[in-house]
Order: sequence, then structure tokens, then C-alpha cells
Amino acid sequence: MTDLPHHSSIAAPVSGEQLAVAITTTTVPAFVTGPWETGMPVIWVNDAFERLVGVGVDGLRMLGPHPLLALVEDDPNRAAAQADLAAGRSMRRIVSARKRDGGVSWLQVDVTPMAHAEGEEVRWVGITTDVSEYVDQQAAQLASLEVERRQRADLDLIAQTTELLGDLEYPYALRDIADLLRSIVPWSSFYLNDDGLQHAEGVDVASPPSGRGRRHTRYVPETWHTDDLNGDVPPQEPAGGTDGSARTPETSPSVDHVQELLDGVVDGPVRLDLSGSYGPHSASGWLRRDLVHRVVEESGVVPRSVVVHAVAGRRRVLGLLVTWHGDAARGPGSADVGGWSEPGPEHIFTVVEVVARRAGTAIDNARLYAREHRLAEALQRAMLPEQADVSGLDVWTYYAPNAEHAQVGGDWYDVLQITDGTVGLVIGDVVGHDVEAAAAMGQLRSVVRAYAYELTTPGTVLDRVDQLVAGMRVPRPASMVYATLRHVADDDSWSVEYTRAGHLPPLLLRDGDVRQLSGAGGSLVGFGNTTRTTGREVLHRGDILLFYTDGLIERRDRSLKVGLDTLVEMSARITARDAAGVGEELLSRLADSPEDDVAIVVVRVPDPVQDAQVTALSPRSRRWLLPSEPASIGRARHAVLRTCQAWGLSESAAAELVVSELVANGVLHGWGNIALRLFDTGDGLRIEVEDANPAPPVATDGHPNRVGGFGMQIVERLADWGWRPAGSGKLVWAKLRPQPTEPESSAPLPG
Amino acid sequence: MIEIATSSTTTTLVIAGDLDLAERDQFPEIAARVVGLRRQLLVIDMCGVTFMDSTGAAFLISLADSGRKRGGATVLRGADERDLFVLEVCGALDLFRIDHDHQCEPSDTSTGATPVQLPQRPRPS
Repeated sequence: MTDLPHHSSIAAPVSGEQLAVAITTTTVPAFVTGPWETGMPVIWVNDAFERLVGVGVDGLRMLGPHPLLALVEDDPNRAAAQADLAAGRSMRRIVSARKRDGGVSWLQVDVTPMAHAEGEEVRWVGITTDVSEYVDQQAAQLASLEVERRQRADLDLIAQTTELLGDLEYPYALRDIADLLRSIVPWSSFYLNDDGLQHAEGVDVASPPSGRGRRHTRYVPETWHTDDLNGDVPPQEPAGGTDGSARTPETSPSVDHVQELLDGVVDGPVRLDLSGSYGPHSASGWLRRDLVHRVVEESGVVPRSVVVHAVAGRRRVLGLLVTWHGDAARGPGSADVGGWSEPGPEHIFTVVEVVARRAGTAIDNARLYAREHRLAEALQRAMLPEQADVSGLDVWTYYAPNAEHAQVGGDWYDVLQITDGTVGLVIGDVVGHDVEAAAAMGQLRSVVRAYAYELTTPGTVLDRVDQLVAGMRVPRPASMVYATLRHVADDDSWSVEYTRAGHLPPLLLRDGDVRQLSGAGGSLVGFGNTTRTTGREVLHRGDILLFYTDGLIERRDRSLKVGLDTLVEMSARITARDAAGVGEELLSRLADSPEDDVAIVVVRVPDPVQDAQVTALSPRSRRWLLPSEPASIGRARHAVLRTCQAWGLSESAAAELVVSELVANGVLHGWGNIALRLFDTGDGLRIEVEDANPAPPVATDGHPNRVGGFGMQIVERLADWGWRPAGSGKLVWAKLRPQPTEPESSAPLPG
Repeated sequence: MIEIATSSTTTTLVIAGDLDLAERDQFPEIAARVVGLRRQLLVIDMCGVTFMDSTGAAFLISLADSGRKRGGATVLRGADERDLFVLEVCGALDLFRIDHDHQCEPSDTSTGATPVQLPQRPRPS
């Protein structure tokens, strides 16, 4: 005996009987069936199985062939499992079955063929495990994952929307947002209300929509589908057309929910039934026509109803965000009502709502900003100095306000063509360089102008200005010089008359001599107790008159007297033979770090004989300040032509084109005055155009809806160009490429 | 300045001076008038044009384009190298038939700029 007793007791085999008891009493439901071919009749079940399904073997037999299948409610992968059974392989599948208490539970069923002798029919043993808990858990997990994924997608969509809204200058911002939304709805689009609804792909930031207007009359091409849609409306009047007005007597027009939305009467969203009939110029009627046309055009499907969200600004609704959710979900019973009955995927409404609200805020901001900007711009422009084109004289003006954000300060100049052959010249300086000084300057300028056109003698003009200003309560004292230049045809000279009100003397430059015109002095404007006097001079060919404000010479570290001496000394060394060149030389030597506003007017009497012979040694750079108006473009071209001639540059034709495009861009898209600068780099002309708009230049690739979109392409072809921020705005530069001396082909067209 | 003359088959547009942004205000009205005349041929006489930039080119393009949509043709005569260069950059040369043989009458409206050869890119055929 080698086996130990306790050892042998463990090793004793479980008898077949014991196994039968075990499988009968276990809590795992088990069963035995007949072969697949006979429909797997249930031959035996244990107690647990009977408890689970509520029927025993007898009950199951009454269910006919395939009794087990009759118990199954849902079976996600029946086909695969049955293939296993037919082939005699064991299989495992998860099915849902109705429990005895009526509930549904998920069961994992394992069915295995039992070993059998040859010729004997196959029997299967099955075990079921209740896995409802896991299935539910998994389903819940999947569902929550799905919700999370959707939320992430929604958030992502909203984030992308916000990004697009950040750049409303982009002409297709709204179209792109609508395209984004089309990932969750079949069709969506923006409409803006600007004196009537219109379809919108972007926002014109220069003139954003007002949100006003109740007559919606913009043209919509008619589509045959419109008639088709109305098929359900019986044509009761044979002569009746398709327009809404003809139908109105028969079918009373539905309530104009879209207009209510636009008016802010309802918050929306509202559903617009596209088979309804509305007044032809009502918001709903117009939108219906446009939508039918558009959706059919784009998707080929005739929409039945759409959801309309308000794109609301702070004070009024600016437009609409229309989404078509497809018509499959729409129940036949839902009429055109303000709300809607069917639930629909809530998250879509939420996303569309958020997008609409954000778009509304962004457009509203653009609207407010544009309005404020227009106001400031208009006021500033009204106060900026002006230079008339004066025939017979070479005039150059310069104005640099010291204020950081305003374009106006207390200094000003005026060049007026009073009559043919008579020119009026004003330069003045209101104390201070803040907004109040600018306002005082604006008043004074108007007063001087008014009298300048009426009376000619400068002393008389200033007398009248004194009288008026004394009673006007102009808040700041001011100094000025007023001069007239009259052409004398006999010897082609100009007779100058001038008077000074507390202002620095103009300078007369003649053949390297500098003379201060210090006569006809008097007290500040508005303080004249005595009659103003008038000084006289005569200008000959080649003479230069120089008017300036104290900002040009005033520095903290030196007295005004020293500054004036320096100016006189510098002026004597000026060699330029054009007014712009004279100004350039002055600025390069004096206005190094101005502490105040600076205004300069240079008047030169051209000398046709001498100017052509002498080449000046003045610096090869020029600058002009041009008001933001279309006429400045031509002026800039003439300036560049003159400069190219003065510098002997051959590329004037290309320069003219580049300057024209750059300045035109500045006038169209820029803000405030436009500064034009030219430099001779020795390796081609460099052109700089500066304006106060910090936004980069518009380099559209030829959008057909933007006239002039090719401008930068022309610049691109002729010059290297770029831009950089400058001051509060930007500077666009272009350096002309040297033109090939030997043209490769003289014909612009092949063949 | 832009003048419109018309015969039974042809509308002739005689343009003089600068064709740039400063002139843009009159473009829509002229375009509407030209379209309203509904002639098969539009002749644009550029002999008197002193300068044209992309804004002016856009105007000519809109004229030629609306003509083409009606099956008409647009002839450009008297355009100088620079004008053709601008139209070429705008990708619009094939909208026009260029009359190379036209002899402009001498005028004193020239800007004084010496004609300069501008780079030409071969047109994709």
C-alpha cells in the first residue's frame, strides 16, 4: 500500500450520478437539446433554466420546432452562430430573452456538441449566463462615449466658428461657417437684413448690415419647383399666377413668423413651412422663394420646411441662420407653427443657436466698430489740412501731428486757389496738441478760409478774423501767417502779400540767400487791438517760400532763437530744385525728433530753363501726405513721375502703375491720410505707402466680387513687395525690379 | 471721359484720360448703357487713355464679359503696352480682340512718360 488514506479520498472520482445531481442543482441554467437537423428540440433542462424562462421541457415542446429560438427576443449575430451549429461546432452568442417576470435580460449562451458514438444522434449541452449587467454597462458606456464624442464635435464646430468670426474681413466667413454646420444638418445658410433680407456669404465690414428694413424685395430667380411645391394648393382661380398676391384671397396668408423673428417679437427659432403661402414682400415669403431656389440648386431636393434662428445683435436682429434638417423626420401633421412638435436632435438646435448668437455678436461688433470708426474718420478728415492743386507753382506740404492716435493736432495749413492766378496760403498753430486744440484749429481754419475767398489783402483778412474770433470764444490762442501769391504775367513773377499773427517769419530762399519775412507782425489771432498790416515781396523763377510751424525748430535743449538761426543756416544749403526735395532736405536735417506737431508748406516758382540743366545733390528720397480720396491716386502718380524725371530713373511707367495700385488700396481699404514715400535705392525705386489701418494689405487672388483684386498681382509682377506694422497702422513697400534692357518679346500676345 | 457711339452692329466706347479708382463712380452707368444697346460688337478705343490700373481693367473686363455672355465680341484698340500688361495680369487678354494695327490720332494728352517695356508672361494657350 503506497497510497495514503487521505490521499485516496481526494482522488476518488465523482460518479456519473453525482455529476447529474450537480448539473441539475447548480444555479447556472443548463439544457440539453437534440440535433440541429431536427430543430434542436429541448430534451432536458435543469431547475435554474426552468426558473429563468418559466417553462420546463413540456412547455418548450409546445413551442414547436426551434423552441429555443422562440425564447429569443433579439439576436445580434444569429447568422454566424447558426453556421457554427450547422457545422457541428460549439458556439457562443449573446441574445436577449424575455424573462418570466416579463423583463428582458441578456444571456450568453454556450452550446457544445456532446461526445457521441458513431451513428448516434448528436446532442448538445447548453449553458446560459445572465450578462445583462455587462451589456447594459457596455451600452451605457458606448452611449456616454457617443454623447461625449458628439459634444466634442459640437464644441469643435463652435470653436472653428469662433475662429472664422474672428476674421470678418474674410469675404466668405459666413459661407464657411454655414459649410461647417452642414456637417450636422443637410443644408444651412446665413441671411442678413440690410434694408431687406439677402443671402450672405460674408460681412462687408466697411458697411455691416443695419438689421433694418421690412420690405424684402431683392431679386430671386424663380424656379419651377416653386410651382411644384404649391401643388397641394388647388388653383382655385384659373387666372391666378404663382405669386402670393394672387393667392391671398383664397388661402389666407400664414403668419409671418420670420418677420416676427427679425423684429425680435419672438426669440425663435421658428419653423418655416415652405409650402405655406406668404405675402410676396414679407420676410417669410421672400425667404421661402430664396430658399426653395437655393436648396434645389445646391442639393436637388425640394425642402418642405426649415428652421430659422435669429442672428441677433445687441439691439436688433441683424439676420437669420437658416437650417434645413431634411424632411424625413418631419411628421405629416406638423403645420406651420411657431414652435415645432417633433423633438429632433436637441444638440443640433443648441449648436445652431450658439453659432447664430456668436455670429450676431461678431457682426454687431463689426457694425459698432465701423460706425465709431466712420464717425472719427469723418471728423478727422473734415479737419485735416488740404492742398489745392495750384497751377504754375510747385507746392509741397507736410503735416505730422504729434498725437499718437489722432491724425489731427493743433497745427494746420491751407493752400487755396482763390481765383485764377491767385493763391492763398495759411499756416497756423493752435496752442496745445490735443483734441481741443484740433477742434479750435478746425474753427479757425473755416473762419480764415471764409474771409480769404471774400477779401484779398492779407491784413484785411486777418482783421476780420480777429473780430470774429474775439466773439467766438475759441478756447485756445493761436498764431498764423496768411499770404497771397498773385501771378504777374508780364515777367512771370509772383507778387506776395503776407501778414503775421504772432507766428514765426516765413523764409524766402533765393540763390543760396535766406531772408526772413519778418514784416507785418502782430499779436496772436483774436488779440489784435491794432489794425493788421500787410508785407510785400516779389518771387522770381527759382525762388522758394518756406512756411513752417515752431514744431520744426523747437527743441527743449535750445531756444527758439537758436532754432530759427539753425533753420536759416540749413535753408541756405538747400540745393533741391523741386518743392518736395526742399522739404525733404529740411526734414532730414531738422525734424529729427519733433516734440510738437509739425506743418510745413514749401512753394517754389519753377524755373523751366535752369531746372532742366542742374542736377541737385539733395537726398534721393521724397515724401507726400495725401488725403484718403480717389483724386489722391492721380496726384501720387504725378508725384512719382516728377520724381523719376528729377532722378533720371527710366522705370517711371512701372513705378506709376505700382504707386497707383498701392495708393488705390490705401484709399479703398486704408484709414486716414496716406503717406507716400519714394527712395532711390540705386538698385531700383522703392515705394512706401503708409496708412493708419493696421490690417495687412488685401492680397485677394482675384475674387470676382472685389473690384481691384488684381492690384497686388500687378505689384507682384513689377516689384518685390511686403508690409510691416508702422505706428498705429501699416506700411506697404514695393521695390521695383530693374527692367530688362533687352525686352525678350515685344509682342504681348503670341501669334 | 467716356463717350458712347453706336451703329447698327457696333457700340464704340471712346475713353480718354485716366482710368482708375477716381473714375469708378461712372462705371456702372456706362456698363448698363453698353449692355442696354445690345450690339454684337463692342469697340473700346483707348487712344486717349493716359493711364489704366487694375480698377480700370476690371471695368473693361466687366464690359467684355457681359458682351461675351450674349455672344458678342469686344475689340480693344489703341491700348499701349502697359494697358495690355495690366489686362494680362488680370488674366483677361483672351476676352478681347486686340487691334494692333490701329493708328491713334496724335493727341497731346500723353503723360510725358516714356513708353517702357514691361515684362510679359507667355499666355497659357
